[in-house]
Amino acid sequence: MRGFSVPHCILFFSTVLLLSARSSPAQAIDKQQAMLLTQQGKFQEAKEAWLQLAAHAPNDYVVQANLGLVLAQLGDYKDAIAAYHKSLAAHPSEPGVRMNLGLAEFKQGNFAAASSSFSSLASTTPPDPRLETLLGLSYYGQQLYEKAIPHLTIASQNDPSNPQLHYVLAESCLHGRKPECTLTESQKLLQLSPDSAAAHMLLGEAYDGTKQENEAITEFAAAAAANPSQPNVHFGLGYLYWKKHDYDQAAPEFKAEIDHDPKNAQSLTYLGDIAYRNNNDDEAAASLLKAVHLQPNIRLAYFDLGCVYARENKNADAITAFKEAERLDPTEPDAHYRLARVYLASGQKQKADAEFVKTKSLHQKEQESIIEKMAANTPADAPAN
Amino acid sequence: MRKPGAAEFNRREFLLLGTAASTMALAQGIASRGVKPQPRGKPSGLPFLAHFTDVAAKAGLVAPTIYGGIDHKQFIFETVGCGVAFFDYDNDGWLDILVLCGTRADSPPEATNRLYKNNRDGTFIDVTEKAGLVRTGWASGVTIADYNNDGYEDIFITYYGQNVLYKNNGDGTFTDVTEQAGLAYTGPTRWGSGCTFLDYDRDGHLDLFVASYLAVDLNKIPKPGTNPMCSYKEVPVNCGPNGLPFAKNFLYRNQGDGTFRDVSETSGIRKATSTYAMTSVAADFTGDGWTDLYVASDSTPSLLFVNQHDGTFKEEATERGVAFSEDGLEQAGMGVGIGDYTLRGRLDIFKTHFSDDTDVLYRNDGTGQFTDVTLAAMLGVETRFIQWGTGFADLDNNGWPDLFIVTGSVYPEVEAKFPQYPLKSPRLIFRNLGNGKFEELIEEAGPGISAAHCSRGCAFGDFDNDGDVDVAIINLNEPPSLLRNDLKGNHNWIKVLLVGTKSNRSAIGSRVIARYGGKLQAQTVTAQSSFYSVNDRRLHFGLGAAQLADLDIHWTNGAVEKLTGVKAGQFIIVKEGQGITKTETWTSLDKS
Repeated sequence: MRGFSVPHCILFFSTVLLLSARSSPAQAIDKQQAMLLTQQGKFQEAKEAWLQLAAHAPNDYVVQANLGLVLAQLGDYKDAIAAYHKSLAAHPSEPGVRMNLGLAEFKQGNFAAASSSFSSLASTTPPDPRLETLLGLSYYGQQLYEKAIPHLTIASQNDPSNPQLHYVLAESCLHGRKPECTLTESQKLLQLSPDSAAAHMLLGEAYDGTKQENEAITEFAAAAAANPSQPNVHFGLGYLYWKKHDYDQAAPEFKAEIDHDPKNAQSLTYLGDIAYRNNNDDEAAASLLKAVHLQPNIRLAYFDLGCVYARENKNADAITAFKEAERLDPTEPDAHYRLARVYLASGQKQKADAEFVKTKSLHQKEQESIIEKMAANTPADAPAN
Repeated sequence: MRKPGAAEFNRREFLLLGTAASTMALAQGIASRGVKPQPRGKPSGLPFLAHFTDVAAKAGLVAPTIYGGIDHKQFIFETVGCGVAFFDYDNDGWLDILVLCGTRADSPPEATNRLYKNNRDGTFIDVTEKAGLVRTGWASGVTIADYNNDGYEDIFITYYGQNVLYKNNGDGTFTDVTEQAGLAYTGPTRWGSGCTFLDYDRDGHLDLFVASYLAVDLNKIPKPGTNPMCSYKEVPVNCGPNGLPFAKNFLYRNQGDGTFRDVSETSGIRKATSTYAMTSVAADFTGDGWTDLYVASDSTPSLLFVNQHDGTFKEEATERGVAFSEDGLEQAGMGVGIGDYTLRGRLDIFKTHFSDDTDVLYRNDGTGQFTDVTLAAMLGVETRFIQWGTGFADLDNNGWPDLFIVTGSVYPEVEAKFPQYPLKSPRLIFRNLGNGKFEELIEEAGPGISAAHCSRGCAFGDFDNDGDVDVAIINLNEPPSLLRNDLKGNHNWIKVLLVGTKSNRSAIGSRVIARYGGKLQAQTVTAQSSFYSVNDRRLHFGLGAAQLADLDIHWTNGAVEKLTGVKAGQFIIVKEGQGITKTETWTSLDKS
């Protein structure tokens, strides 16, 4: 299994919620024909039939509901949504139509609208496991992980053998900064899909989040073994080694990622960083330059590039690189300080002084902020002993 | 290291953000960059002739330095510890030792500073009571010099609470003259830390700089573990300094009549705020002949007060490259060593830091600008221990000043969970290889070096007058160590005691540049360095094979005196304007 995705999950739900034709006798035959075509899966013909009916009775909620259904089956979610809205405008209390509307919105990628439709439905109908799943997925699609987690938890409890549900729940927990939940769900996922590289990576992320570095490395290594071409698996492993300052182990992983994806700017950056630390300035500069050309928003790449140039006394180049690093994150003092030192080395004292002032100011703000936080956490009359 | 308190990103967040800081954060009370040691080079294979043995017990230094809890420390002031001084309080030509002390909750009566008089036979006698120096409290730093130019060395000690000035009466006793001298303090509780006598206005009278570590109210310090600044490696520990309020630093001008006047505001000292100041060293770092001040600061930018020659200072540590690491990050500055490691006649600065970080060596480029050369000097190989007292000293008399460092944890609670962070750890020597690089030695330098203790201050001096450098060390909740240097070989040396006449009598701030065997080396007379400690005021130069040395003496008041062809193997006293007034040729004591 290469991975999991939301579309995989949603395939389990079909949008076959037909409304029976119960309209006036004059239109009854046409509606029945249209319904038959729909039931036979002749969606293009059914669409024409429902459109004709709609032209004569634009406010007929049954016609609009079935038109929407057929349009959705044909992949025309935009028009389907419009038809469902017309149906609901005429008959707001029809839960099947609202469900179909939510599904169409979800499939169109409008997760906010979908979650709104599903929420509205959930508030007026008895508890429904499918709705929990759809709500959870809608929130997940909006990256509202905190909101997604309770719905996905119920959904995965109702369908414990569904690996996709465990995956999205584990991912939600990861991004929702709930490491224990990430750990539990990724372990469940691995039981269902023991050879899944994605599952091993998620478990590795969970371990990383709980500061179990060695276990994280083990899982990422298992992921790389399960699928060496899994995107980001070597980068992830390399990064974990880099974080432990184990540059000898990290470098081959970044190289492996680059072998699979020569445009992986992150891997190029860290490889350049390691080369810089090992005093291989030429190698570092080459790697870092590639990285910034591919992705010009990686601060570390510019910062390291500045350091390499400064070490080689290429002050003008160093200034350019440090300024870029500074632009990408003006709140980090290191680039300001390095830039100031290079300005000073190149005789630009005023500019150096300005950067020194920024460096000092950032440190002072940081310290004052820590003191404020400490004071806020300290009870007024609470002696430590 | 990112800034303390900053969030630590996980790998996935890096992927999402598409950006990364070059280093990682540790939310904890003390700044540490979390760096890995740099790879060690191949051993030089050169013999090291110095050999250190702890002779404290045999010498009679047996009283423990009581300092807070042993297995658990609730408050930060139980952890920082104190300094030690080598000085000659009775002018008999032999170094005596002042050992500072803290206390603990039950205020045991034996918790007092102690003065040990040198018996001139390798042993000492405790004369604390007779000298009038019994005092219980949380002592921190000490500075010693003759502030009233009466020919006897006086003592100033910082405390949690009121600092104390002891005037040497010249008869083996001292008198607490804090109040008479105008040094009584009535503001909110402060924690005195580094301190140093200095003559910043070159009037021949020693002024006094007093740093403060924290403005700390015991009732307002959170409990261990109650927030990120109160834990280390997720183990609850005493809080701070990060998160605790900053205190003010003070400069007192000596009015020449035994009193001092607070000039902290008018001198510009008070402009430097937001700092947890520790060891303070007065010396001419910019080479302009005027005494500057360097203050190591814990987890905040260190300070360099540059003398403006008009009674004021300008704080320029950041601009001159001695405030931060080379990446502009704060480090836990605690101890400071001053020396000329490349033999270029300039004073370089070495500063000690926390574990998981390197110490830093700032090379002076001669104009008062400094460059961080820690890695180039191979000093980044050691990051295991929390490092405190330190100094440049030519331990093997080969003509190249080495580095000596003492270590010890502040978190006894951590060792149980993480044995790699022990409470007690060894002393470290970095021998100067003479090529801009150092080589770490531990076991090779004798049992006094490899023995593990929880050490803080250390002082360098030749207590047995045998022509080498010995070391006195504070060990928390243990007696001090006295490391006797049993130096082998036949390297030469010369020892110089400066006595000011127009300059302050202790010659604090004077510089000597020695020329020997084609080399030149600068040393300066300090009244505090290492960690809160005071070294032997006699400057010791190892000369290697050289038989003679030329000495350029840059007195504190700006005068320069030159002595040529001074013979090796002797101790000389040089009086300002009068040249050499006394010589002594020493032989080694029987060390059996």
